[in-house]
Amino acid sequence: MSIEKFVNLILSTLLLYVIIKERRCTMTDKDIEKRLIAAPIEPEMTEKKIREFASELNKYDYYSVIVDEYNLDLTFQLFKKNRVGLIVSYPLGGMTTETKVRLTEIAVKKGCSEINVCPNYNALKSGDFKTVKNDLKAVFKAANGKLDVVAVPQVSLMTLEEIKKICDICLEIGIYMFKTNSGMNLGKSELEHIQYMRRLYGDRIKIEVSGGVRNLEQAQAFVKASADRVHSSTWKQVIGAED
Amino acid sequence: MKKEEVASIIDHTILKPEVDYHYLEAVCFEAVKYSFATVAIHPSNIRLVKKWLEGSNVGVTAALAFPFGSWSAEMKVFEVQDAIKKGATDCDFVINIGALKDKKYDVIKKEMELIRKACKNKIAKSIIEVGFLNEYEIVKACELGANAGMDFVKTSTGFFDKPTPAIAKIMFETLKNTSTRVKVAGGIKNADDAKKMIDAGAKRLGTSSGVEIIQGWKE
Repeated sequence: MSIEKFVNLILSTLLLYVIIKERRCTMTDKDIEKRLIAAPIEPEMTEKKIREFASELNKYDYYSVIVDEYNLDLTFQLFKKNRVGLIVSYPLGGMTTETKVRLTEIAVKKGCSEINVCPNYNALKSGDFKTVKNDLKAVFKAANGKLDVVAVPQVSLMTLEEIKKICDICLEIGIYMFKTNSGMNLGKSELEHIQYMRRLYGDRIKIEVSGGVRNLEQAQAFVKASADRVHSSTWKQVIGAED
Repeated sequence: MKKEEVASIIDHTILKPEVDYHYLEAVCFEAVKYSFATVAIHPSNIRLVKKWLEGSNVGVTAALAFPFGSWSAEMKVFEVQDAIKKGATDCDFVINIGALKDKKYDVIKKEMELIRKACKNKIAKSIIEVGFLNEYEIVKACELGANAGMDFVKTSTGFFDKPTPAIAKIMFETLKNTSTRVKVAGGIKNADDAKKMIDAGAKRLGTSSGVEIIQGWKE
């Protein structure tokens, strides 16, 4: 081999390596990307942090972004998509029906596309299904068909029976979208949770997985298990934009 | 300090989503038995616990704008009024931490003043979530609380980083010439933890371990 050929070989190998590495960094899983729900929600969410969050997320074809009430206006301004959601009694579900209704009314007024509402878990755990139902019914009524109502069964803290109960109550009311968990430190969703809910209700429900979705591999597994959407705080890893 | 005195500064706290009414009733039972200051709960449970605390001097603390505090002042006032209407004696609300870090002090000032007014003669405690703050921000949040006439500035919700006695001390020093006192919440598991916080200047303790604290307390 001549020196020239050898150098060429080295250079082309290097080039190939750079191309592969570059592609790995910038190529995301488009299917997961379209299903992505991101949420700049934490106590120390400053304006600067939301701006940074928006400029990063706006590079991708995400599904929606969920925020808390104080940041709604800024969120509508900064994020490229109009799909903005509001959390309602998130993550603990312990707010009064009146407060949940008020938040829902604000979401409607501001033009939100969805709310994520946590039911009264203490009532559910006590078998007080009437309270659970009336609470969610009031929220659903306040939503007035103007936005998607997504309920959070908090699967990591519930028995399978309780998950079924909360889903049944929601479906009776007209709520058919579920976010499995609040995330935070309240536990993880398992593939089996998605499969269980899908087995019970088939195509009648939409399932958003949240809680413990940390990377692309996990996200793909949840989608394979029939999750319609994927919510994660490590969203860059989840869509494959970052290792 | 006598056991009774320690008991009288404890907010017996139960904010777990996974407990049932029996559990809440047992917490109220303990609060009455030991004469704790209040039972600290989610607002959806105020009416329930009122029933179980009837005839006692135990108050009801409502955890408000919980746990993020990222609400407009109007939304917070709405929740405060709703909680008081249902029977809350103490309003523990999370301040707008994002605004504090953005140095938008007028936002905090406004929400505190409106909440103070909405609380009327009830006890108002502003939660500043010290785990997310530097020392300057902690001092600033305490000053804003004192200026707005808060009864207490409270370290944390208990859902994030736990406060240290050193932080309680900074708050105590900042507030010492005011009528605002320090409530410490988060990570107080036993009499030893409680003593450290009391020594640092805490005048109210938020904990789910009230019974363990009293049982282990050495006078």
